[in-house]
Formats: sequence, structure tokens, C-alpha cells
Amino acid sequence: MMTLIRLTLGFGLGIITAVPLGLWAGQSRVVDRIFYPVVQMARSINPIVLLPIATVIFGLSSIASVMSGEMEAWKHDVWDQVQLAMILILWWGAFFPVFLSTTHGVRTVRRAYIDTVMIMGASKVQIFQKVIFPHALPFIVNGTRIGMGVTWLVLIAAEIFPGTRSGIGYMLCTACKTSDYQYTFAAILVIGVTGLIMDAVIHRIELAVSHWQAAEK
Amino acid sequence: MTGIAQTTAFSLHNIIKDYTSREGTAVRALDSVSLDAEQGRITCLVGPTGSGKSTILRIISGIEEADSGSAQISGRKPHEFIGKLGYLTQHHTLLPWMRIRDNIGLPLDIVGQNRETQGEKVARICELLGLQGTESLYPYELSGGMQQRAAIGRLLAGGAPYWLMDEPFSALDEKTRQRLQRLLLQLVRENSISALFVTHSIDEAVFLADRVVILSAGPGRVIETFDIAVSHPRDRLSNEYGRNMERIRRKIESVLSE
Ligand SMILES: Nc1ncnc2c1ncn2[C@@H]1O[C@H](COP(=O)(O)OP(=O)(O)OP(=O)(O)O)[C@@H](O)[C@H]1O
Ligand SMILES: [Mg+2]
Repeated sequence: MMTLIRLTLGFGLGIITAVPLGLWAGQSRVVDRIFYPVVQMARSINPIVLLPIATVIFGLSSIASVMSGEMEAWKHDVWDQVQLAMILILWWGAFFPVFLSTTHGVRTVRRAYIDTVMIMGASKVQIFQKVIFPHALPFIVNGTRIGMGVTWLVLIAAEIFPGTRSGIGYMLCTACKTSDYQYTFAAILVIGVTGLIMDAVIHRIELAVSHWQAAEK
Repeated sequence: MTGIAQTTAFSLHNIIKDYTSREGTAVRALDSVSLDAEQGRITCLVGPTGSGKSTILRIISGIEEADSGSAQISGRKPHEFIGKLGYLTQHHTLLPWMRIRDNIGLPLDIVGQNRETQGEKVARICELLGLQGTESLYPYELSGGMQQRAAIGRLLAGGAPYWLMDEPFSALDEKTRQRLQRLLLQLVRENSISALFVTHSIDEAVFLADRVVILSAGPGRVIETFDIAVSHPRDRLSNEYGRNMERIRRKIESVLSE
């Protein structure tokens, strides 16, 4: 389904960029100072509001239109439905929760843990591997869970915008316009259930990586 | 050990350390502290809260620098001992996201020892310390006493002859505490460990230490140094034990009532 392809791309891009940047900003005061105002400003902008602007910038161009070379027709069809503007706002929705909780996860590492491995002779890389990253991991997953919720909301809304010819949001909108209420209701149900399933999956992962936190108080 | 009967393991000379408080004023934590701790012995640091005991350990470990004075381990600079020092911090010593096995093996992992040798060594230590069966548990699944046992196991695994221990037994019940004190004495003797051991408990100091250094309330200064020349294991019920307890208690009370 188009919706899931868009979600995976936009959301995946969000995580791939937010986690390394968050890990970096969490460890460096200077980097954090630079990021802080930008992030705080940017995250208060609702991604939906950005869609028209993004559409003006990117037009209706899609991944297919920026990819060069020959490709099979069906592939072209798929990529053609992944508009750059939409990916941008999905990225926007996913990035901030993940980024912020990652930096938080890094910044709240106890000094004693770092001291302990430092005295054992750990290198910077080892301190990161043994202490900083494992400590930040549950925070990262938690941010991902929040980001997933946001992205899902944004995506459905974005699919109602013009230029879209597929996706669950598009179907919902079309069904509604043609007064096909059974179909509308079914679409809403699908949206709800999918959201629930995705959250449950991430929640599972979250429990698995954060079990030690209860003892951290 | 060289020709000299006793060489110095840890030594501090006129250490001064200031911290800057949140309001920006300087707070003196250590005021010209000098002390010597002998090789192969346990030296206890006793003093009221805020007297700079943890600060002393941090300076000797090389993770913190004194503002003036010199700190040495076996006559050399602390930072040369990074990786050759066992250190138990006051709180949060085991890494909560690692199983006991990995916590104990951590010093070996950090120096890049292969998994197999590491596994054998950890298994041997677990057996020695009575930690069999806990290897694949997480620290929070163990009792406080078992956690401290594992922390000591990690010191052993590191193989360092110098141990810095910051109130390792203070959160334990009396019985567990005494059991671990005996274990510590045994390990120190068998492995020729030199330990600097911080405690609030006079009894613990008199039971473990060959030397007790008493610090004043902040800013920390050395008030007095006692040598306790009683052979181990010590009998808590002996007159001599009681006399040492009394001597130190009086000194500490005089410090506290200053
Ligand atoms: N990082 C720090 N920043 C500012 N002040 C500090 C810092 N670390 C310690 N101090 C201050 O230095 C003094 C000594 O602290 P330290 O932790 O060494 O005492 P302690 O003897 O170990 O106390 P306790 O018995 O409670 O563990 C205290 O007044 C403390 O507030
Ligand atoms: Mg302390």
C-alpha cells in the first residue's frame, strides 16, 4: 500500500538523521547550543502547515522524477506516488521527537558510569559503546514511538492534499466526497487499527530495551 | 616489594581542591590534605559527610585534578594508572543494562581480551565469590549484597593491584556487611592488593584497616592518622578491638563537635 511505503521512507529518513545527530548533540555542548534554537523553533511548526509550502518548493515532483535512467513501468508508478513534499513533512514529524529524546538519553547518563569505564582504560569509542549508547537506547525507542504517532497523523492528513492519487488518506477523502460512507468508515477503521498495531510493535521493543530502567531511580 | 619493608601505595601531599558552586563562589573541598597508604594494606578514610572522601578517591584515580599538591600511586602519577586501577564508586557501580557476566568481564572486554579467556575468568571469579547462577541476570535482579559481590568480582577481573573503594558496604545489612568484610580481607591478602577504603563506620574501619585516616568536616583536613597493628582476622569482642574503636570514636566526636 502506498501509505506504508511513504511512511517507511519518511519515517525511516527521520530516524536515520535524528539518531546520529541526537547522539552528537547530546555529547557536545557546542553542537547542542547550535541545534537548540533551530530545533525548538522548527518543531513548533506543525508539519501539515508546511505541506503547501513544501508543495510550492518541490511542486508535485516525486522520487520518480528525480531518479534518472530507465525503470520498469510499475516501479515508476510506485515512485511517482511518493512526492518529495510529502516525504519532507513526514521527516519533519518524525525527526524532532526522536532527536530530542536521543539527546536527552545521552545527557542523562550518570557521571559514575562514565568514570567507572574511563578508569578501566576505555577509549572514547568504548565509552560510547558500553555506556552512552546503551543508556540512550530506551530513550531513542521511546522517541521513535512518539514520532511514529505524529508521523501517522501527518501522513493521513497529507494524503488528502491535491496531487495525491493513492493511499489510505486519499481513499478516505474520495469515499467521503462520493458519499460512500461504508467505505469511509472502513478507511477510518483501517487507519485506527494500523496505528494501534504499529504502536504495539514499538512498545514491545521499548519494553525489551528499557527493562533495567525501573532500577535506575 | 623491593628491599624496603613497606613502600607507599597511595600518597597525597598538600592537596587543595576547590569546587565552584552553582552561585559561582568557590567552595574548598580539600584543604592541604596529606596522607600515605602502604602497599599491600587497607587504609580507611573516615570522616563526616562532605569532608571530601570521595574527592580524594577521584583525585587519586586520575579522573579529577587537584588545584595544587601532588597525588601519587607507587611514586608515579595517577593518570599512568588508568586501566591499572580498581575503582568502586559510591553509588551505581554496576552498569544496569549489562548482565552480571558482562559487568564482571567489563575490564577484560575493555582491554580487548578475547571472549573465551574472558568467559573462563569470569566463571572462575563467580565460583570464588559464590555468584554461580547469577551470571545471566541483570544487576537489579540481585540483592544489594550480591551486587556488591559482583562489583568486587569486577575489581578482581581487572587484575589491578590498587583498589579504591567508596563506601562499598554502607547500604548492606550488618550480617552481609561482615561477610563481605571478611571476603575483602581474604582477597586483599591473597592478591597483595593495596586498598584505600572510604567508610562512615568506625567499626568497619577498625575491622579492616591497618591505618585509619580521619578527616574533618568540610573543608577536609587530616585530623589524625592511626595505625592499627592487630593481626587479621580481628576479634570484635577483644579488649584491644574495643580500645581502638573507642580511640577513633572519641577523635571523630571531637571533630564533629568542633
Ligand atoms: N562536582 C562538584 N561540584 C561542586 N561541589 C562538589 C562537587 N563534588 C563535591 N563537591 C563538594 O565537595 C565537598 C566534598 O564532597 P565529597 O563528595 O568528596 O564528600 P564525601 O566526604 O565523600 O561525603 P559523603 O560522606 O557524603 O560521601 C562537598 O562539600 C561537596 O558539596
Ligand atoms: Mg562520598
